Amino acid sequence: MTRSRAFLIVAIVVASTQSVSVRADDVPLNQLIDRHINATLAEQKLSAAEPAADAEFMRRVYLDLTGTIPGAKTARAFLKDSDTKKRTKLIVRLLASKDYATHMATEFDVLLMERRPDKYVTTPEWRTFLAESFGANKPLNVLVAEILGADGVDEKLRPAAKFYLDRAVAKDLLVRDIGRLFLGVDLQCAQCHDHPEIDDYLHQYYHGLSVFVAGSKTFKQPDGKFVLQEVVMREVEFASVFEPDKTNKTGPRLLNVLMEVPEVKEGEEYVEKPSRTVRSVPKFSLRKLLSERLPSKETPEFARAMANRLWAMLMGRGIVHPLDMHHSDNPPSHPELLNDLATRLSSSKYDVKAFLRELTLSASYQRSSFIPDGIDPETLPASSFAVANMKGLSPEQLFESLLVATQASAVLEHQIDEALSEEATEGAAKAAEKPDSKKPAAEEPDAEKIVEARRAKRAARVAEFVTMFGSVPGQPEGNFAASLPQALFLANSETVSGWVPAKLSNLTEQLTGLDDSTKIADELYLSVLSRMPDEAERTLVKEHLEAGKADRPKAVAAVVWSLLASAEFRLNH
Amino acid sequence: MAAEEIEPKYVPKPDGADPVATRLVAELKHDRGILACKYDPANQFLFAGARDYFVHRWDLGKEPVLEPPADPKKKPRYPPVPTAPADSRLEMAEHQSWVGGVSLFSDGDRMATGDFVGQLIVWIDRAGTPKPLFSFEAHKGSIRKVAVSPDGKLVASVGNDGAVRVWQTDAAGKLHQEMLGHDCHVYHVAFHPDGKSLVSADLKGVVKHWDVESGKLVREIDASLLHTYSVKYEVDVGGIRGMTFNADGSLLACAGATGEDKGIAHSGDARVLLFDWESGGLLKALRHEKKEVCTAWGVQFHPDGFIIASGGSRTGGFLWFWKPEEEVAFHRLKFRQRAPGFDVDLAPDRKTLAVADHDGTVRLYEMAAEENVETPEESVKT
Amino acid sequence: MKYDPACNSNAHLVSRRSMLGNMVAGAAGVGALGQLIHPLVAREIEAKNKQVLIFLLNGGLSQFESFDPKPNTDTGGPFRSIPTAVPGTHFCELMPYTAQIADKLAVVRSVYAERVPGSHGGAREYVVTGRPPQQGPYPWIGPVYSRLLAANEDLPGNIHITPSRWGPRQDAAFLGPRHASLVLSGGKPPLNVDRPDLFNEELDDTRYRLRQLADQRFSQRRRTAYTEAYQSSYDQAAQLIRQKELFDVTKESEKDQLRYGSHDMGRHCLLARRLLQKGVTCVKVTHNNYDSHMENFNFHLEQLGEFDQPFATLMQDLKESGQLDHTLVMLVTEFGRTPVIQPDNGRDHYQDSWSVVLGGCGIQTGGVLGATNDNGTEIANRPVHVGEMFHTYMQAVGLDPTATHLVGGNNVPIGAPERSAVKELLI
Repeated sequence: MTRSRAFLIVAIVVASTQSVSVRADDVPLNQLIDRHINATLAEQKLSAAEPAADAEFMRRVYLDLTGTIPGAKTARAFLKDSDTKKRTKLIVRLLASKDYATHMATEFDVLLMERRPDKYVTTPEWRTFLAESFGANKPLNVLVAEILGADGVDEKLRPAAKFYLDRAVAKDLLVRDIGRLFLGVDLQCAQCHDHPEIDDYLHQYYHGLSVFVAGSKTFKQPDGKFVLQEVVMREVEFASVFEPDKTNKTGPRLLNVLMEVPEVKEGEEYVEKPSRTVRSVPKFSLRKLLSERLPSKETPEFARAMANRLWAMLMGRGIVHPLDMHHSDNPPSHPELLNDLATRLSSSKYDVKAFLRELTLSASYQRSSFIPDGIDPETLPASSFAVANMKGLSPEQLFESLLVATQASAVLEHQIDEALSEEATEGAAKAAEKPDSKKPAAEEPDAEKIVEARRAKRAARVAEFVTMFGSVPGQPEGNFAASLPQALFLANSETVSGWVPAKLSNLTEQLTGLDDSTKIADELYLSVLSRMPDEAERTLVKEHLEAGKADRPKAVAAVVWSLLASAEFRLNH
Repeated sequence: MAAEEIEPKYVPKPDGADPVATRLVAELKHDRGILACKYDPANQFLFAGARDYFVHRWDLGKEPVLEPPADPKKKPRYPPVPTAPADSRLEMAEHQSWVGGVSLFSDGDRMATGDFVGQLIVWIDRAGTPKPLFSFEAHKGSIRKVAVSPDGKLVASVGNDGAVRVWQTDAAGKLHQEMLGHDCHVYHVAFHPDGKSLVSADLKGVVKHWDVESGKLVREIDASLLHTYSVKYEVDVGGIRGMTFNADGSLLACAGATGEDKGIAHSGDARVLLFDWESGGLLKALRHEKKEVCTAWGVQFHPDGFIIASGGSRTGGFLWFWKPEEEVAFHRLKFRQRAPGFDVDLAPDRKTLAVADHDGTVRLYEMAAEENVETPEESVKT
Repeated sequence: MKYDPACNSNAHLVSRRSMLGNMVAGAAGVGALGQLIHPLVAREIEAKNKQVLIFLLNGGLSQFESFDPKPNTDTGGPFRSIPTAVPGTHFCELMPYTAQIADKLAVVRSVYAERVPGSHGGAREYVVTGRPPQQGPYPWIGPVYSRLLAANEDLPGNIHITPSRWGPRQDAAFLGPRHASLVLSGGKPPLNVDRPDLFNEELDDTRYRLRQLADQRFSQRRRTAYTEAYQSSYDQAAQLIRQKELFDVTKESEKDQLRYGSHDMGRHCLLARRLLQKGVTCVKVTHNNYDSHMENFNFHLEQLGEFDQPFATLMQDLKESGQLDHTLVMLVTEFGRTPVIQPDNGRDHYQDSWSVVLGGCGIQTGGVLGATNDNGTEIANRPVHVGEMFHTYMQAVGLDPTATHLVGGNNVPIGAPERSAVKELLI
């Protein structure tokens, strides 16, 4: 085993953080990141971990950019590749892949909807919209503007209205979530008075933000579809619960910035006046104003909040942490870095791919998760980014990675087919019991329906993982946590344990077919942990297989499972 | 809507009741929710059970009637209520719980009442100084309803112990027949006008037809439309809340609510099921034109041929009026108070209705237009 | 303008005044941070081997139809009151069996709380954490007992027997999923407790051993908080799979199965007895359907009809076996129900006063604490806040509610610091 040596960051960069921030627009962002991080490490005399080995980097970047581990073949090819630019090339390739778009759609769905149950816009529609946006690298401000300006009427942008519609356009919920997700401020406790603990969060901020959405509510179209409508709203009155008699007013406000609302003649406020049968549309829409002003340079909090979120997604922790607690009593761990990240994000026209490319290219991202030799981990806080912060796999990452590792796509398909045919049999039996049933006894299977049924069944399997490993609906995903029900699920559930035994050319079956225990160990570790085993591990596999030679497929299955259930697999490290 | 206005919703019979013109004419005040009300056939008294331990009697002759407004053009949507009603109410104390069952003998003298802890009382001198003839524990747990046979010789009681018991009325606790078979709370009971048959109805929407003489089960009528099993909460919801025969006994009406599984905190939609007595077949499931998330509690047949039900929920209280051949109500009156009418009874004059209201008032409504007023009372249409 | 506050201002007044600079306001943030958790425990010697049995009557038990009857009043409902084993104390007639064991109970008739956001969920959280939910998330009481009392590492510290269709809840907050309730939905064994056909017992041991070896290797020179938690979850799983019969109530005698009744509540109470006998530290039994906005009287008749006998039987059995001496019994509900009888014969939520019942370990039983007025509209004597009850639940089993959990380097008081235990209830 190679022993990494501590990398004491000497002042190769100028020790003063002041001089780091000297604007050098031609300096690539990845270098800027490293300058800031290293400067702070040097200043605090902290040791940093060695650069991650190829395997460690590869697994991490696959999980972070595509939501799954690499397959064995891909992994082998990368590890063998002697091109010195192979990491950069991999990053570029992954960012261009379809998996990137799908993964970002999942991440942003979970981020923006927090696993709320579907109400008016389905998750597949919404994820398709997000995947198309990230695939085409739609500027983040444009995407957010589409979401905040959505009314659900325009068919093309209808999925974007999920943010409003599936929160039932509930004002207080929207104010809180718009603040948290897009501005990085949780204003909930400023609803009734100035925030009791955070001096920066003023009562008027809450109500100023609420003006934008206070006039909006759902409208049921004649075709049964729910969309948004808006009545004219200029300001709201509010009073602190501490001084209930003193009424204040505010117009639409993004934190400290009060917006102008154009005067409209009385009686001429509407394109469509409010009525029970027609969707009311004001001439001046505050939601439109919000969508124009929030995700823009005029609201610098937006770029800061988004840069911090994207950073946290990859680095396991925000520069401001918690992510929705941007305020002066909770300063960023690296203020200059956050400034630069936010500036670059906005000056690059909110180019997410470019941002993630630079982040993943940085040495800070590419650090190992091994603590340097002889260093007490307690001295290297997560906020120092001296060592790669480990992250638990999300429910979706875990599902996809288990499937890739076990090479069980065919098994899953078989499981799905069995479930579908079982349902069909049950359905037929029920239909037979009820002879008066109007449905024809044997319906012709329709190709489209079958595809949809399979998609739904697969989604249901993923949903099992979400229930077991995800946060509760309406709550942001927390950090890694382990529980007994999760362990039982990974150990014994039909979904997982069904993928392990030798079947349909899955990993266990392939390994059982190999005769040499070294080959088995290599293929096993590469498939499950995306790395080669060391000698000790090869020996372990050999001894285990010898002990279990009476029933070789089972012995293989046991060792396959042991790696799937290992912390190394469960974590993104 | 305009097309409907041209054709009258209901054409009153000559000298008959005009349900579309139904209007509030008097309020009999009390301070506890009224659960049951019955007109004395002589039209002198109204008897009621309430959420207290009394049987109540009002002297209708002494209660003021609402005056029609001086200027009919400025008629308020709801007429004013007399500010100081005469209190003619008499309290009869004997029960040990709420009184939900009240049934009058046709002899003008006796009355049977049942309470929520199973006590059955037969009263005498109901028009004078009422006193119990006898009283006894007829059920373990609540009595939900009582019914006196047409000849006055029997009184039937039903309750939470699942039993239907028919008692002789000459002495305490003389059981004529006990009919067992319901597997849940029994909510309602009624004698067929011929006196030979008895129906009992339960939480699960099962109506059992019994032979009074032998006590044997004749058949079951399926009113399970008025029952929902909530899968989520694993409970039975609903039940038959009101039940009555028409005068010749050819029709049976069961009131309640039907609906999807909404758990224990939401009602289904008000329904009155109309059955053909001979065949036991469902003729119509009577409803309002729109979904009415509430329960129909009381139901009556009017001799003019229409059907009346009272009901509601905390969001509103209603009287509905149907023609037996039409599923959708031709008229609905929305109460001023947001509370259901738990029972409805028709006065001997065939034009006045008494409604037992949750808010502690019995309200009297007249199904006739005010005199000297050209347009009929405007009532809420939806 | 009128708005529905998402946070309770009184709570902030309290928290601002007494806890500025303290960790409490940031407890939620800490949970989200997922920082290293080293709960520093005020674990006291005498608290060892104490057990707790919690009944949660879910939806909001009506105090009128249970422990604080007001017959023949405008609010009282149709049911009578009946005498109990404690002279002078009456319960509603819907609880005849419980009335007979009233001498083993302490009834608090004057519990109250402020209104908090989140309806049932919020109010329930207030009751089982002693903190208003908007300050949270704080760990529920079961996880707290699991953390502070559980001595037996082989058993889950905190098991929750629920009606079917209940999923697991994340109720351990910063104590971590290790202490989260193990849910027995519908009284059935936990999901996935049966090992797949592929692995017999021997091979099962092998795969767990191999797994552990892999983790040991991985955690060398890595931060260990995650790997330790992960290892511990598999240790628990391996143990549990070996003790499946723990959940099998049919292993109890037929006579006992008859005594408890064949309905779910009966089975669940017998299962609770079994789990306590086997040494599980905290067992919670949830009974549903008390949220009687409609037909309050019908539903309480049904539900208490199910609850009353098995509850009393279990209390009796615990007394006879001597377990009651070291087992705290709590009968809680998220709030009471309104004195006013609603148009649909229902009662709505009421946080101004309701009843909580305690028994067993550390509790002064055979009496009533506090009182409501004649028709139960307000507390007439000795108001007891839910936060005080939480302290009492801790102190009854010998835990110090004023001690702290250490979360990410910060001290978080176990009970709300502005409250204290109800002395009158404690021995």
